[in-house]
Amino acid sequence: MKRYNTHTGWIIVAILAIIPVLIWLTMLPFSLRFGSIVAIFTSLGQVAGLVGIVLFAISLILSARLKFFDRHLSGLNRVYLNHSRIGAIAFILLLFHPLFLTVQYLSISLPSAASFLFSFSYWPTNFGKIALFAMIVLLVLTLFVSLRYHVWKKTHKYLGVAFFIASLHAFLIPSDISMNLVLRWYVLSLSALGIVAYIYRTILGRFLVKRYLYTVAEVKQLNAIITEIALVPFQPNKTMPYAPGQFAFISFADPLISSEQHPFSIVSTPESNELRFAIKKSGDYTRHIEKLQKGVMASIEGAYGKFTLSEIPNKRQIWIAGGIGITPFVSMAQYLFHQPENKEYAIDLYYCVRNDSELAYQNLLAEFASNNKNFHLISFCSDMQGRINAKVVQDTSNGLENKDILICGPSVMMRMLREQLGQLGVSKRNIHSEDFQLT
Amino acid sequence: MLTKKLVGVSLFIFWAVVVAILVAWLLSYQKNTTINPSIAMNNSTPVVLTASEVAKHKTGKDCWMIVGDKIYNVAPYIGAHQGGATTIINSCGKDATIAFNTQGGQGNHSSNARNLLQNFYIGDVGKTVSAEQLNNTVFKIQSNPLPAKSSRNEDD
Repeated sequence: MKRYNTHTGWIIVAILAIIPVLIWLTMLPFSLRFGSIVAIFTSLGQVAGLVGIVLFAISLILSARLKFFDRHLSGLNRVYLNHSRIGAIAFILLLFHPLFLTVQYLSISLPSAASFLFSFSYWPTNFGKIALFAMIVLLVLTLFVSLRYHVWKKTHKYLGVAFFIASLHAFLIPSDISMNLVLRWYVLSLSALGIVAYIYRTILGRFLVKRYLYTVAEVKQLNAIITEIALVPFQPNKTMPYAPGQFAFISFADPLISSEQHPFSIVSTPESNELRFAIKKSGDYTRHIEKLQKGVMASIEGAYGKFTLSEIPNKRQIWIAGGIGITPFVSMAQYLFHQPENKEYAIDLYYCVRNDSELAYQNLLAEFASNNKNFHLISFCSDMQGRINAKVVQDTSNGLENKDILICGPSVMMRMLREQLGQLGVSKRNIHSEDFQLT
Repeated sequence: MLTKKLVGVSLFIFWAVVVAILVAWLLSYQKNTTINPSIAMNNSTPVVLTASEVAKHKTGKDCWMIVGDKIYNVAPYIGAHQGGATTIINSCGKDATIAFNTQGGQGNHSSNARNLLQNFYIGDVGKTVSAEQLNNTVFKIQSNPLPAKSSRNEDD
């Protein structure tokens, strides 16, 4: 995964956010915009509103789960992470938008400020207040309340409606947007893209988003907490293309399982007609996955992710898997050792679990290790050996120089390892990680 | 985590400011049963509504202006003016006929805005009003900070 894609994405967002500010700056002289404390706060309020709505639109566009962003930015994981960050920044700006504008009214009198904030007689302003209140409720639910996933997801979708109402506010009130044609078209275009992206993913998703139909062929318990599901295509020639290490979103049409969509890493390889996923019991949804019945239909959207071999030219690699994070590596290892030309790869795989009972695929991986002198499997049980750290990896792998390191596992583990590897001199360009948490 | 903390702090500041303004306004509203001090409560001398009288009321808290042949005290409305406070304050104490009719060069105020303006009517230019009439007018405006008829579904 090329790091510059992450920076490129942020640069594009920054440019999109700065453009309306530059247009706004040209509309009045600086002396009027910043000539007094009141003028400064008014200007800050206007800019906060402008940048806030632009970032809100960008956040919605990123949430549409477009393959374009998955391919050209740093993978869907980072797209969702950045969707959250940009959404949070937009929210903060939109909170301060009315606060800063209130200062000019406070400078007149308290009743003026109160009527600005609490009057509900003018619908263009009401739209702004309704949208902001809706954002507050929905984002508090997202960030500060522990809701069940399917409940949270249903509430989070309403942010698109909040955005639509905020757009009505932006275009109906007399403001800088209404007075400048270029600014008006710029904000209108971004708002329209945001609304289109929202409608594409939510209302029209079932018609427009490409999904593949499969049926459940086998459900196998690998251990007490991991279930492997094998699926075959419903129609033989309609299989989902993917690369080893990628993931897909699945929803099952089984009355015993919720029909909500969830992302899981693929453990099979593209050469096989079967699609296999290994799923760990960890929440309301996955707890019931072992009840899945054979013959059930599954709708699969994907594949996504840039945690794949083709993204990393360096064939000297260290793989560090934590718990269910082994899944992308299982796919990659199978792919590598079925292709004779891939013998040039030299890989050390650290498989980290709490104890032996959590291991899955260890026989398959051990077989690869015994048949390939350049593939080493090191099991690491934290109950006995403590948590894995970068120093242990450095010592066991005879150094970290000239190697690319792939990490997949719990967020805490990945964060710690990245820090430790950085302290040992490993460049960020050589560290690749896949976070299973998309939010 | 940092993002979550920033959002939390911003939410706290937002609600703290909003609640503070609401509480302060409610407390001051309860106390506000007296007439605007800029008007001489006990002065029984009638007031002639001329341009020079209007010019004495030129602040955001006491904002008289002439529009057409009528005089208005628009101070209670400044906070709700969709075109911003400054645009109104610039005309306090003056003849604002052209500014109002051209919306400061942006167009014309809507019929709704014109209807709204009538809520702030004090008297016709040149008319003499008694202090009591004036006090009642101001009291009516102040005790009803936003007029009942304010269906502003067009730009002001």
